[in-house]
Amino acid sequence: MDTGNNRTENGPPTKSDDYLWDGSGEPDPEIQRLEALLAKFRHDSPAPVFPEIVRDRRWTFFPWRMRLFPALATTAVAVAAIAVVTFLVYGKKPTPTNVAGWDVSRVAGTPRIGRKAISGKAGTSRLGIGQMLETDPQSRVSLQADDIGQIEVDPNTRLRVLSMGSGLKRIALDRGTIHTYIWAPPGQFVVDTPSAVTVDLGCAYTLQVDDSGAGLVRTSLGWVGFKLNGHESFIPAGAACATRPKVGPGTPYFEDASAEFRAALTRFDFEDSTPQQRAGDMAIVLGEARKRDALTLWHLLARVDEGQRVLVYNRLRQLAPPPITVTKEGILRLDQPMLDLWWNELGFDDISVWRHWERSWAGTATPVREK
Amino acid sequence: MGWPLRRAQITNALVRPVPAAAVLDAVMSLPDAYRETLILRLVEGMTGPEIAARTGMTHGSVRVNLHRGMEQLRAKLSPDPSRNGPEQEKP
Repeated sequence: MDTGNNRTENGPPTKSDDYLWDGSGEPDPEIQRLEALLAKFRHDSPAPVFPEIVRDRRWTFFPWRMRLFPALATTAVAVAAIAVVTFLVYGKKPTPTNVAGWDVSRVAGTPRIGRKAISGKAGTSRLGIGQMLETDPQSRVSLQADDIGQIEVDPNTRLRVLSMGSGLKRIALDRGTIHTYIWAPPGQFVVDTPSAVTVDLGCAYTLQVDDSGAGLVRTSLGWVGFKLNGHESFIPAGAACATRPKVGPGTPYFEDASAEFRAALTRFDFEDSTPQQRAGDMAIVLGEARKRDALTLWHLLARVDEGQRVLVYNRLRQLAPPPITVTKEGILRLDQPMLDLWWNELGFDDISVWRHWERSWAGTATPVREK
Repeated sequence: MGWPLRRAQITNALVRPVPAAAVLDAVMSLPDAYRETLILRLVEGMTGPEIAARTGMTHGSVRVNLHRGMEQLRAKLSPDPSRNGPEQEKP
């Protein structure tokens, strides 16, 4: 009896094959997971009976087939002639290259590229330069570009592709949430939001924009740069940073910082407070700061007035002493090379990557507004 | 860190739950023979011998279809693009 035991193409059956075959042997966790996922699609009715497969239909002579032969032969000759002419006319033209863009795979619902809905049967669609992708409350998609990375697009999101190719790869996130996993070299993938420009510096991150244009970036791997109107923030893995229209990026913070620390920082960054309130919030931030919150304090050096800058400098110096070549006077006058040297001492990534990006793409740190 | 390494690191970190609809889409995109066999196995919960009895295929053909179908399904569901190679020849 044929049990199929020796029929796997790569040699004798494995335990995983046994489980796949009849559920015996050692369970394969991946197959179990797929079974559990797909069981929801199981029919309540019995499985359909498939018609018997007829493997070899022998030719049977019918006189009427013979009468069709001349017509079929004439048609075949005509088709062949058309094919030859078509090949001679068009055959030597170069094959058109693919349009630059992102490959779009529907994950759920009915997302749209422009006015065109992406159905489940469409396979992979293309999102080209200038096109808009939109998801409704039920739909999600995945974008992939081989030389850039992957973007997962959540429901209620609208984004546009602004540029592709060998230079800057740029999209605009008008609203919603994207999860990006970027393998392009640092500084080549940029996301415009209504209130800041997000620059990939080697990372995976989530970016959210609400209907007012306010945004939040949360980094899970590597680091991200956030920039607008001279305000710049660097967000390493584990940290987050908010941004607001007309204000730009706030101060980045580690998400495990205390609630008091984060609340005081939000008020300091975005609320229209009195000088006394701002001083109180700064006292909370400095008092609650841990060693790794040097990230936040370093950014605050350039965001506080001169009176508060001394306080921030003293606290940051306690938490993360600066290199010997960095002086108090230099930091208080916001000497950029000294600030950069101190940043590099904090144990995050090398800030020269960001400076290189700034030199390479000067002028790009202004979001492209929606037309 | 070299960029190929970085890509591998990112794709390895890309372990996100795959929704059932996406898995079903992946199964539906397989060649006919693999698709039908895997649907009976993974969706309908039938065993290989039951699939063979239901479809009239030999045990060996069902086993090969299951094996190759799972291989292609794994490749389609894998975040590693190097596994998403061209589809194998239809049996």
